[in-house]
Amino acid sequence: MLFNSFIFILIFLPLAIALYFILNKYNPKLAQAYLLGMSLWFYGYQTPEYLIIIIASIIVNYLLTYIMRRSSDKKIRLSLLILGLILNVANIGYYKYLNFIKWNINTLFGTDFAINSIVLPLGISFYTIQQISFLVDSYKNSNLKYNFLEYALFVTYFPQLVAGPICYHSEIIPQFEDDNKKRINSSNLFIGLTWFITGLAKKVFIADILGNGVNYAFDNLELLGSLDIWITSLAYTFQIYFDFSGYSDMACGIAKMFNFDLPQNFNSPYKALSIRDFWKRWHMTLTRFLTTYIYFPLGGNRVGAFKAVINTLIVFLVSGIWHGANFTFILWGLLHGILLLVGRYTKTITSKIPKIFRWFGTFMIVNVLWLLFRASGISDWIFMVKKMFHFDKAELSHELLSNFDSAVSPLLVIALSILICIALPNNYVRTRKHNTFSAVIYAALLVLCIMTLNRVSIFLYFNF
Amino acid sequence: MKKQLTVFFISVLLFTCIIMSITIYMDPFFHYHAPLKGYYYSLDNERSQNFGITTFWDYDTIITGSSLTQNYHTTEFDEMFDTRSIKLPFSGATFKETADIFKRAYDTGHDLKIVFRSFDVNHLVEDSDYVRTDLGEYPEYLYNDIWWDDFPYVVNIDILTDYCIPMIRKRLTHKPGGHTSFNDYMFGEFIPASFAGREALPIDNNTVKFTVGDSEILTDNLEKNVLSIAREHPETTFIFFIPPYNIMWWRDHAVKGELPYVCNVMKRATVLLLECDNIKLYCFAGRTDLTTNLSLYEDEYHYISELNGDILSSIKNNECLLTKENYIKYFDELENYYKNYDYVTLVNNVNTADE
Repeated sequence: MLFNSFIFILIFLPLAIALYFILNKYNPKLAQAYLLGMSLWFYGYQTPEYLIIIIASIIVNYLLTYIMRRSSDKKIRLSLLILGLILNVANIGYYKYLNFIKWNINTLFGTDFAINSIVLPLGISFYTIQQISFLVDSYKNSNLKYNFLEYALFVTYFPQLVAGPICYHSEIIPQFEDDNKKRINSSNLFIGLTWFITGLAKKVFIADILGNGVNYAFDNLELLGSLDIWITSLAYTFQIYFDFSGYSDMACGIAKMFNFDLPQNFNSPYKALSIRDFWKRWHMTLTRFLTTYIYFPLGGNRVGAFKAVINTLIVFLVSGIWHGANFTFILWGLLHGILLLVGRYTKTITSKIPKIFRWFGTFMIVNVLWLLFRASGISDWIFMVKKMFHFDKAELSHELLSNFDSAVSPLLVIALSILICIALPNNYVRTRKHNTFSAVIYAALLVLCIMTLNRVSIFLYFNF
Repeated sequence: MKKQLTVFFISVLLFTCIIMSITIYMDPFFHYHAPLKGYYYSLDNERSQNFGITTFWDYDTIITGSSLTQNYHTTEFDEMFDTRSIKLPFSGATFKETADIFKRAYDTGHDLKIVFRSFDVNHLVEDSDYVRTDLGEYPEYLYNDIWWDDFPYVVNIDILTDYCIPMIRKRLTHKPGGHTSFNDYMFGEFIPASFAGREALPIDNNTVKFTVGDSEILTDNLEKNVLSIAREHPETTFIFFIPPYNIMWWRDHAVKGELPYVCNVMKRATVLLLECDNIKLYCFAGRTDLTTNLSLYEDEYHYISELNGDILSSIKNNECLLTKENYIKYFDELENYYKNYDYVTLVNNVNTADE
């Protein structure tokens, strides 16, 4: 089910919230079970077959951690951890990477492995790493004693299930148990609604409009001049931000309506002054996971300069692979890693550069690398980058502009996006005072968003 | 925050009601009522508007079918056949889609004098329930009388900005009311096509078979979407015409070994239709003076709109009518003609002319 659908907004969400709080009055365990049931409905709504995969994955992971907790033998615990890691990686590997691996083997060795179409289950990358974090924590700490219902709800809790934020059990499960959060709270309900509506508006009025032009551009690369590619790159840079951060806002807003706090996922990433800074601000929960569960266990930067470089590159390689089974993602990850390292080792020089230039340089690097992220192949990206700097045509293609299919000029949408990203504080920093007028404005914005839902759209981060 | 919450929910309700009221009142897709006097209705969305037009408009004849009927002039038709027609074509129409229109017309109390439609051969061997979901989201909520699934229509930004607001603007600037004329509601401007680029291939003699399974699908499709309706309504004359697909259409089938298949499909359909006395089937596939003149066509199917008048005149004069007596000979001659056509020379000539 999509957040931006009639069924979700008009039926699912009101039903989920209302019955959850009603059931909490009588039986909190029943309320949790209900929330688990609703989350499974949310997940299996479009493709019920996905439920088998997620339920099997939850049962296997829970059983492994259950046995792990009961055992004091270190070897057994370690074996169970390794088994769990292998099973989780094999699960995601089968659905996400098998065809990519086969294709590479076929290309390299002239073999003929059949490339079958495998449909990627929704959100598998997100719930897999969430379960891996639980597995590792259970190995380290045998006092984690959650029951199956709590664990299953932690993995499937619908606001964060398909596109994050990537939560840790320690920040979610205690909230399920907190008696203070079991009653409806009008303040949280209203704040949650405003976050949800803000996220929906970001998605509908900015990301989707920019996405129309971006889709056309990537389907017609040969027809584009250099100015077109600059506009396409900016459009995609803002599309992916407003799309993903819009989704995160909605997820956090929905959780807030249940009185739960999800971790912050974005902190004005396009205000970053370096690539390192960018990764502290972009998809923060993924960076946190990769740092905690890969970078630190490898030794981080406390194992010598050379190993620190390798560790950083490993983290970014994993990040690239996690984002998708294509060399474009791998190269995108590695380039980010390399540029982060360059920034780290030239810090004494770059820190003397005025902030505005540092910001501009960082933004341009991120912008050009997003093209690689979106391109269907590395050659397409090279073609676009070359063309970007050819400056062959001084005018924008009419076809590109018209394909944005927007009532206002796409250039205005991009300008507005820059303004929002650069000049405005984000949701977490801003302290809003809500009054009656803002309630009316949010109501109007929600109705306006609902009116656009007949144009169906898909969230970009669902397939990662 | 309780106050803000209350204001929020009341405002959402109020704004939604306002938007719904505007759409229901203006009703640009005629889902609730006939067009209002004084407002101008643009007809530009067949799959969303045809069903509503069928329900609420006043008429005694329907012109429907695929894009091949989009260019017919209702005024010309009405003059020839003394009718009050409406034109309800669907791009790439399936038989199910046109059948839904006929059924709706009868269900809403319309006495149909004539149903005129293109008999699209390419959609005959197709599931009887198939509708064109590949052309965009099918607006199912406009095809039923269930009020609670209308939300995507009554709270829809496109309906408000592309239809209701322009209608209100025209009304306020005193532009006359009415609707897009069915004569102006067309497939598009005629752009002569280039048919160059094909390979000069001979006919493939490894012919594709018209199987018993194909025959069953065709029979089921026609039975559910044409014959049962025609039998139920003997008062209506159903005039169908097989369009004059051009010689390249025939060539493309011939080089793939599909010629006997295509002729068998037409023949089987004809046998079934001729069982109903109120169905008249005209076939223009044999009008080789038209089909071999590529300058009349903008692709393998679509021809200049002027030919529509000729087709109507022929029908009026009962020319090209298939009967129980003539259809076997007709299709034998048709297959023979297109089987023996020199497609290699045709393709070479077209390719040379294009250089």
